[in-house]
Amino acid sequence: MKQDEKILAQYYDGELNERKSAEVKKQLDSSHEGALALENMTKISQLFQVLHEQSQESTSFEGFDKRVINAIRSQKTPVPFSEKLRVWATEFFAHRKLVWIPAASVAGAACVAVLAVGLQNSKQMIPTMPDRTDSSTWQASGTTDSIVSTVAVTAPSEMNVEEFSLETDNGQRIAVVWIDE
Amino acid sequence: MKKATSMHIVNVSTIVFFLAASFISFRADAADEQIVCKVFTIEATNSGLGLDDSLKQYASIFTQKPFNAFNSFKLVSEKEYRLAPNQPLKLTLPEQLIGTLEYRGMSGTRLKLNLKLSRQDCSPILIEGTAGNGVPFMAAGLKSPNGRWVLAVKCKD
Amino acid sequence: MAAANPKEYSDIELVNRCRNGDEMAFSQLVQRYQRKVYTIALGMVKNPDDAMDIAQEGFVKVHRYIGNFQGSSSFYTWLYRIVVNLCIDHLRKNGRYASDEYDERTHNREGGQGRGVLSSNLGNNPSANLGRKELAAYLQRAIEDLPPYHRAVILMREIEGMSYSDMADTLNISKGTVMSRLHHARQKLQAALQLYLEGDLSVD
Repeated sequence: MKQDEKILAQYYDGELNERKSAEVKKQLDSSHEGALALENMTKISQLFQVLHEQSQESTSFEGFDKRVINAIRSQKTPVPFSEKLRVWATEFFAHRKLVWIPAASVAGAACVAVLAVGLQNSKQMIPTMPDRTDSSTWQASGTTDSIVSTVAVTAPSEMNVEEFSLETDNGQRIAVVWIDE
Repeated sequence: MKKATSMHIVNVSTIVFFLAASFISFRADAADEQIVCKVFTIEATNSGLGLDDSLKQYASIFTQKPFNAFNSFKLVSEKEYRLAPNQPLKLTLPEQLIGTLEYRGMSGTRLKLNLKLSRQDCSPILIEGTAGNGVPFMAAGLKSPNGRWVLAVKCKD
Repeated sequence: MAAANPKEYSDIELVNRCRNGDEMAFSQLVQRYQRKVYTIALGMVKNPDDAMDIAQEGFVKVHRYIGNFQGSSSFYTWLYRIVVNLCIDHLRKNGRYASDEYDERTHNREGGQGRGVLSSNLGNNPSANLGRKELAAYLQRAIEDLPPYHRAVILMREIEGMSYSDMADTLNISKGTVMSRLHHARQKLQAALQLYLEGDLSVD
């Protein structure tokens, strides 16, 4: 987008401060091209208003709120915690962009440090997944050569996940994860 | 002064040459790192139609648990994707199923792949797979119109 | 003590009352925003029945997650975000837009090209006398050709008069991206409606 187009759009949309707006207005007096672009934007806006009026003319909202309330009543099942957490996080991070990136980096680094120390001390894997985690590699159940695919699954807690290692005709084993909704 | 300038030009040319050569080899490496994956979408049902001819090579797989609960397997689609490392690609999947596939590099001789699946507005399921060249791994069980979906991912470097 | 007229409650007061299970408060919020939500949905998905369903689903979702609303954005920004996302999901589900990420470069190349909907329908007859309804229908068709996110910004701006920062908040994008999408949307619409813009046609 060219700089002057950008400024003109901001001017049209009322996004410029008073001083800048006055400057653009002055420039428009001597710019035929600018005035034309502005006129085009105005005409498009007029058409939108026509479209808007038409869509409202034939629409009745009578009883709409009651339908919404009824729909809410009919769907009253508890929201899974993971879903609540997801919505909360989306809402939280959407408005704290400047905070969450460094915060997440620090938290990530802290997690890595804790994990590293933990691993050194106990030599055991610490489960870190928030939801149900099913990790499955079939290295342990056969010779390494015969196992040709593996899977590790992280799924929401409400889903049942089961892993299978199936044998092909040539004796190789491939990984299948079954996700039961 | 003139000599110094010539030397300077020679040095600059050498640097440019090496940079260009490195760039070309880097590009070649980058291209080499790409893998080709096929994603087979299969519908498992009890419609009595048996196994699709195109799936015959995996006949023994479909007689084992958990697939032995179904008597018919139909290949719905077979799509090919070219994946660059660490760049998830959106998959074309049946309606209401969203998925991405990401190539995460090699683990020994196996390809590391992340398959992420989800329904609209639902938390995703992350399947971290490793697979030998040309060997599939499968994610199955999600509800389909007539049974369950089976997604088989097979990649080659 | 006279009861306060519920219509005088602010959005956040109504939200707080909803959190305590007050259905009447939620009804107030629905009545306050139903028309706006429907308008956005209709602009996005075109079909009035689908738009009404999406509006309803949007409010149901809002009710479901009202406990998570943190008040850091305005209620209607949050509501719009939910509705716009539902619309985009609807368009994807129906195969109107298979690609998740619209290629802005492709769009740049397309922007301003071609003769547009009006010229292709009217040939080179600028004196064609189009009524308001027909012009609006051409606009609707031109809107349908926009990718969903571009469609969302132009509707929010032109119908709702939302500011760049409110749009950025609603769509969770930067103001720069809002400007860019708005610019592309306008370019595309101008190309599609060029005869009207050239002054031969009027909405009057």
